[in-house]
Amino acid sequence: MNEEEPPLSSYNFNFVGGPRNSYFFITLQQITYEIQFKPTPYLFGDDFVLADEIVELVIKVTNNPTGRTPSLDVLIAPTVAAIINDFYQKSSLTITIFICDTADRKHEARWRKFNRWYDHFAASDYIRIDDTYRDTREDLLYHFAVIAKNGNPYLREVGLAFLDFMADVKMNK
Amino acid sequence: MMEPKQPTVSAKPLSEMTPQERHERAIGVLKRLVADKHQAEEEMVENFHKDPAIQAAVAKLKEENERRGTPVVQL
Repeated sequence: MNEEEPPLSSYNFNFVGGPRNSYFFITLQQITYEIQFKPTPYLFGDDFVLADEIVELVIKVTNNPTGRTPSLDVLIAPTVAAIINDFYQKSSLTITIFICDTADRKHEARWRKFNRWYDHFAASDYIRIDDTYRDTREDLLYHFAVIAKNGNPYLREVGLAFLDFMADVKMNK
Repeated sequence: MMEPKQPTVSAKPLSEMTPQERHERAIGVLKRLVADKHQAEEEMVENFHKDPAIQAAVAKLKEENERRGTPVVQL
């Protein structure tokens, strides 16, 4: 941590659960965020050993009474990191994927945000693999990240499945 | 809360697919992932306003924050 960073704190959050493993937190500006770990068992094929452990990380402002675009809030990154850590404590075999696309041209900002959240992890406990895919026909760029716990006994299978998937996506390029 | 439909992909195991079939499956999955994410984001906003379980959970969180005097916790 450098000297300009605020004290290590985050927002209080609660786990609501449900089929998409929802969490909520409310900021000092009364903006409500929801984080979901949305099951995505089909990603690496039905026969993948941890198909039921694959989730997609989705983060969304669900209520913004300010009526303005939320400004940079330094407490959001540590809150997202704390929530991801909490979810991994419930299920250490979880494989989290994060994807951002260029459909609305805000992808680079979203990718930078995701990287800020990830930087707040105890990164040595996790392994992360990134890749990108450019769809030249539709002029879209996709950023991907896959995160798993270092202690996951299927790390090799996760890595190979992701590389295989990206190789399949990029075939014919 | 309704789960989105699973993508329509071949039921054939990956190991039995041709390279072209694998490519088509992967592109289909990619597009489905993005579409599902956009749909999930829309549903998150809708459900915030109409799902009683979510409204109750958020109200509880607000109460907790008010009782504590702040939504911030020291790590």
